[in-house]
Amino acid sequence: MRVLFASLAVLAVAQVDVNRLGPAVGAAAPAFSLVDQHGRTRTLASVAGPKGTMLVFFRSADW
Amino acid sequence: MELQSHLEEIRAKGLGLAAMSYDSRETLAAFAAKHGIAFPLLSDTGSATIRRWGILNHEASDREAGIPHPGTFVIDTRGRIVSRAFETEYQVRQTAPAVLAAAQTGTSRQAPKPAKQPRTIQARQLSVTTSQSDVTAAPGTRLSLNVDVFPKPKMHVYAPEQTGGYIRIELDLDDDPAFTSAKPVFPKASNYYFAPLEETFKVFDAPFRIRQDVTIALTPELRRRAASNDTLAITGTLKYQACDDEVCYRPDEAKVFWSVALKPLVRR
Repeated sequence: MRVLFASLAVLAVAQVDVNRLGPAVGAAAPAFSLVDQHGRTRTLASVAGPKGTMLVFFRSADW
Repeated sequence: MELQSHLEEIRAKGLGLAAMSYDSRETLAAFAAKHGIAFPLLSDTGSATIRRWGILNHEASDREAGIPHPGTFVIDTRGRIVSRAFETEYQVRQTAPAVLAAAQTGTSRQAPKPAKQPRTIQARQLSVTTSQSDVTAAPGTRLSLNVDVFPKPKMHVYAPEQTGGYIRIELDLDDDPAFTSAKPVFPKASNYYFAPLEETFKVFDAPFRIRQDVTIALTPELRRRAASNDTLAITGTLKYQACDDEVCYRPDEAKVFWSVALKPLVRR
């Protein structure tokens, strides 16, 4: 069943124009305040390094 | 998790690394412990942030409802997006070094830094060093191949922006069903004023880098090759015409080559 879901997702995602997803280059990154794996509240500023941040969105750690 | 192995490299660039998903804090904590993750994993339960960023995958349903389109943003200290990369297929992932490389294009006037596995080729009027963002890669992942071109003194080559019948520098990878190629990325060209003709040309007259991203095919054949630790050879041709202040030389080409050690895809 899971394989079937994954295959359907391939077909569906293929139609999304990934170049138009989310903020464009030069746009402001939307703010966030979320807990990390240790339960600490994190914001863009708190995860940033001296030159900025690499923020990765991933599907899930669960499957 | 592939990102963890690049943490040092990312931090060395002065960037903080964080990864976000719709998983609960507990799920992320277990995942971090299992994989030795030493950077923040952010829990967006309910996917409100994923929605606000405009990257919610609306097609996903049931168990997967709430997942984002997987992608990576590099954000500067003023909170502006500097670069972004999204996966074009469900399982295709940008490797972290490729995203880092993409974040850095535009700084073209600096002398290129050698990346991994450099190989230098002496050609007429210039030398060429190939390198790559990753030495190993899994089927479905994307990596950057670099061609650093060093024109010999006083030499220039025509940039892609030059119009008219000039022979512009061009990188062509040989077709192979084992991978797909993105469009090669060139830096911005310089203006070269040629007094005798009173004309300005778009050229490269200092060392520059061409970045060519490739995505390893996610096919049974490639999975099999990866399982047996096979090596993928990628070959191509750099075509150019070099000129100095007096003459333009005969159009020439240099063969370029990379090898990528295939490894099995580990789902995160």
